[in-house]
Amino acid sequence: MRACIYCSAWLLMLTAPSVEAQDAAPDSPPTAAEVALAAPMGESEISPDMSLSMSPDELAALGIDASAPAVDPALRFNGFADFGFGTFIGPKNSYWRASGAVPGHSSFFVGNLNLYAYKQLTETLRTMIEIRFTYLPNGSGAFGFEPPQSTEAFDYTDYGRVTRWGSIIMQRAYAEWAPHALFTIRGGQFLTPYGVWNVDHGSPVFIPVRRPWSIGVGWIPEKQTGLELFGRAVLSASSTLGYHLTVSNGSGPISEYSDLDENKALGGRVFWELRNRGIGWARLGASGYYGRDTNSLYQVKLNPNNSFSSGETIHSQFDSLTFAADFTWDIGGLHVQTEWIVNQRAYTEKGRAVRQTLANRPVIPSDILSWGGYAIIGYRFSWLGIMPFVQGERAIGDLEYQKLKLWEFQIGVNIRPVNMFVLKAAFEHVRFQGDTQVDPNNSIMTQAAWAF
Amino acid sequence: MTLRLTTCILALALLCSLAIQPKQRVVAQTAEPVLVVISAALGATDISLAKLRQVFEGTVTELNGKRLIPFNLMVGTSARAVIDKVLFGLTQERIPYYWIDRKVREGIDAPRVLPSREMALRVAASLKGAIAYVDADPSIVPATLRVLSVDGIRPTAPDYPLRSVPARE
Repeated sequence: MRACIYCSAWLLMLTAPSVEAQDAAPDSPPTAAEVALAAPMGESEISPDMSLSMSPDELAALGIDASAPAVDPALRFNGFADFGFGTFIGPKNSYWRASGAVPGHSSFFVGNLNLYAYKQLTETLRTMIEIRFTYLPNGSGAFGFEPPQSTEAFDYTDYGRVTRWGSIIMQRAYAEWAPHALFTIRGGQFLTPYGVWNVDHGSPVFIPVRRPWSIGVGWIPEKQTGLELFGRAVLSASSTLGYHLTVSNGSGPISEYSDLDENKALGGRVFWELRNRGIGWARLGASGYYGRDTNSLYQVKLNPNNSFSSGETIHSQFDSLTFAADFTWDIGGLHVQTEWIVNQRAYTEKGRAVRQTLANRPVIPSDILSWGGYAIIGYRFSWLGIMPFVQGERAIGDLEYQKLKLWEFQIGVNIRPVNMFVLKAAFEHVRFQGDTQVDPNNSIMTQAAWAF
Repeated sequence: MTLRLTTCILALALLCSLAIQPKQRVVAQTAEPVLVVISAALGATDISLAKLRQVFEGTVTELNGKRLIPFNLMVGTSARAVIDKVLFGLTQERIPYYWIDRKVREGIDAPRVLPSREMALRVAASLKGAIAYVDADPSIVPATLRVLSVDGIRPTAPDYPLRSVPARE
């Protein structure tokens, strides 16, 4: 009950100031200079013999440089952030309070703070990086089974008082060359182009607060380092076909900069978009991924003849094959979104080493077929951009070497009073069945997310 | 006590919700077709609807080998409503969300916004590669600008695709 009061008050507080901003122009609003330039003339003054030429100064007042190349070469920054409040509803000794999956006590939290920087290097060459700032690793532990890390340090600028440092996570860093709409090649670290959720990526764009389990578990890696080829072809005024092909290091403990096997991961996606006045906008997509995940270590060996060589110890190694399908449909205020994934994990002989489960039991991992999917249905009203939604999820798969079956149900509201600011509140019920019994996870999550 | 407090808070929330009435976004109706204009010096006479969508969504920036820089009018103007509805299938309420979502997903910005039709014509005439749109009678567009047909259909034709949409949806 107390949590409900907090949530209501918090949502109320954040909703109240939103309407004044509703009229703000959504995209690059004209400046005062622009309005001043435009003010004196109306349609009646448009005539075939009117003088149209603008001086460089007049163009500059609009922020346009007539001598600049067709593309904007400026370094641009934007990003998103979110802040939330969450509470777990359940027994005081519930497993979930220690899991790190939900807050053990009702908590406010800063979630994501992601900064984008991008620049058009030439008319066809572009670069983008995305950095997430985080308080981690302070306080993180493995599902409550290991003591949380402390990042306490002593601030030499403040009499050596205790401070806690955080870190950054590199989300994306790539350059891309786009000579044609059918052909863009991207090199670096990129978000894996599959499904809906992984591409939406940012909290202001997601409808619920949290990722579905079947997406977050990483059957297809969230991001990869390698090459991506993509493009789209316009089939008709209402129909577009697109593709993505990827080759990368795949997944692994240091896949961002090192592949611990010679097997490069291959992936792909095709999608078909349809847009017309009758059916609104719809997209149907299919994705696939195949890669080997290896955790190994090369170590130097001293041979009997006093020469050096090396040997590789494989701690874990498996092949992962995943297929996914997704469908999104928007018509009027109605939004329907669903994606389904099936993953096959097959260990190699050397890679099937003894591992510890969450409960510290030793197991020899077995090959496993996992699958899961979710569906979201919501309706966005024009008034304050309010969207009530429901989400359902079913997943059966491997969680830290234990087979787990999951049902999830979520009901909530997503409010977008202005285009750059979103409020969310949801009740989530998750029921698990598996080798290890855990009680249901009932939680209330709220979030304010904004783009900047 | 807790129940009473909760009831008070919910009642207060309801009152505030009722007090906060959204301002109605008025989309003016127009009988004029929306003209797609570029500098006559670019030499183009026609653009497909699909290409026009790609240009204004930022995925294609050329027409017949010439670079294009798209310019929008402000949200809420009648011409912008037609463009957003026909090209993106989105109302004036939803188009801001579309562009913010693309910014978060892909780091792609919306085309620049010009504050008036007159300014759109002037920029199209003065900036090489600029492509803009206005709702006006084609006969009053100055000769230094070229009004493009869309999918081979002239703006004066009854089946020209860039025509007015219902005022509120």
